[in-house]
Amino acid sequence: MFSALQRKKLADSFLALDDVDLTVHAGETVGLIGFNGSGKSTLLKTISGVLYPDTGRVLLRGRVAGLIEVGAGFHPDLSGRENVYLNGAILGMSREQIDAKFDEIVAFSEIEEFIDTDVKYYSSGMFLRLAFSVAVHTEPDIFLVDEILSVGDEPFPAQVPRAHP
Amino acid sequence: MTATGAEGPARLPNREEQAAGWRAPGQDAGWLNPVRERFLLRLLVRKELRVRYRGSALGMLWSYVKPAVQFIVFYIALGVFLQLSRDTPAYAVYLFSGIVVINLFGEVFGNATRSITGNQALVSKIYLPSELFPWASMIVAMVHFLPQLVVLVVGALLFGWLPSTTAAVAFVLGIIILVVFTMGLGMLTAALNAAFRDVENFVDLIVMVATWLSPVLYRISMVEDAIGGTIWWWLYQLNPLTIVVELFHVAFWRFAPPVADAVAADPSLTGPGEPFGLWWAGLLIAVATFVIGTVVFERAKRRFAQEL
Repeated sequence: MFSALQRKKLADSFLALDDVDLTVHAGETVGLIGFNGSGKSTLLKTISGVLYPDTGRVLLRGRVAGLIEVGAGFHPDLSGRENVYLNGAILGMSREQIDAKFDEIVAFSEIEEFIDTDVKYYSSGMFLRLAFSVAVHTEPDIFLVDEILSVGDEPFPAQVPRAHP
Repeated sequence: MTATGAEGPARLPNREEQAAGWRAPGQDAGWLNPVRERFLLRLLVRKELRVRYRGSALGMLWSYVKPAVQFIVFYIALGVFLQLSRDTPAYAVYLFSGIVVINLFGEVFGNATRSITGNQALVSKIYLPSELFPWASMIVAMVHFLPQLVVLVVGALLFGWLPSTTAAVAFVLGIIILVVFTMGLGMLTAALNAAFRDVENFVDLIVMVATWLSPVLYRISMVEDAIGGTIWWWLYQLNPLTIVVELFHVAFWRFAPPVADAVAADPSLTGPGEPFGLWWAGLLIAVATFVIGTVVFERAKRRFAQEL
């Protein structure tokens, strides 16, 4: 039946962000802290270009890599290698850049022997490590990270600061 | 990086700010994105092809099997039972050159419509130019079209058909009109489908009807006999699919020797306005559809992430 007849709303409006005004300068690191549903992810999505503000504007200088959700651009039916290329390209890298960085990305993720296996057979830790590794190696000017640093096993986070100072 | 709560619709940086290197997120080449981002487009196409045939033993062979079965069924039912093949020389070629057009139309239209909703994970989580999705669907459909085209050419050659300039021009015109027109429709329905999933069912309906509303199974002269002189006849002729199907008939069927001989005895075999018919009208409608589809898509794409 028509959902209109069932008095079910197909869409609803919700004000997620209001009166936000902030400036982040080059070289600064900013953390957003707030309750669930307070709009942290919405703000990051607005900055990365996934969502558009209804009023007001966002201005950026430099290349953005948004890691709103780790592995969002990964497809389970593609191999690790294919996913590195696909995700690298989605995050704005050219083929040459990915070719040059490929070995580094794989070494960083520590899954060399499984790189030609379909990603659907990966453990969730391996999956996240590869996804994170691609994102850090895109060398963005602006890096947006949303609740993902619970990546990998104990030794893995230890090398993150080295890779992206 | 700065976010201001300034009022007003101006989302883009003004000229001085742009000169200083500022840009808005998602500020890109718009409808030209697929041309700019060829590398990403190619990867998306490869992804679609891989995903489509995952765990399938026959793989790409399915794109031969489906049109083959369709062809056999139509040939037996219409060519043999309804005896259309008696009055239409080389009816097999006639039939198949129309079927490939409708198949390409259906696949581009259907895939493009589902391209935004089908890539939900990417659209709502990561920024990438959303024009790439319908375009990738279109290229995937073209990949499936190629084997069918090869079968069509081989079939036409068996009937003594030989490539000619007229055939090449008709084919190229037909393909251009078809792809431009269908992409326009596909961009429009892709944008609408993000908001209302009813659209994809409606599109399936259109594709089903399309086979019968263009001269694929029967000859266009039969339509003229039935409704000639009325406004419906003009609408039928202005249907871009009718124009493309007739162009394909000219390209692969009309100048095969058995047809050319039969035309001498029975001029009603030819379509109106031979050889290229209403190609200009088809091209005009196609371009207009493409412009409308692109404009709607460009306006709607900002809301995709919210609607999914």
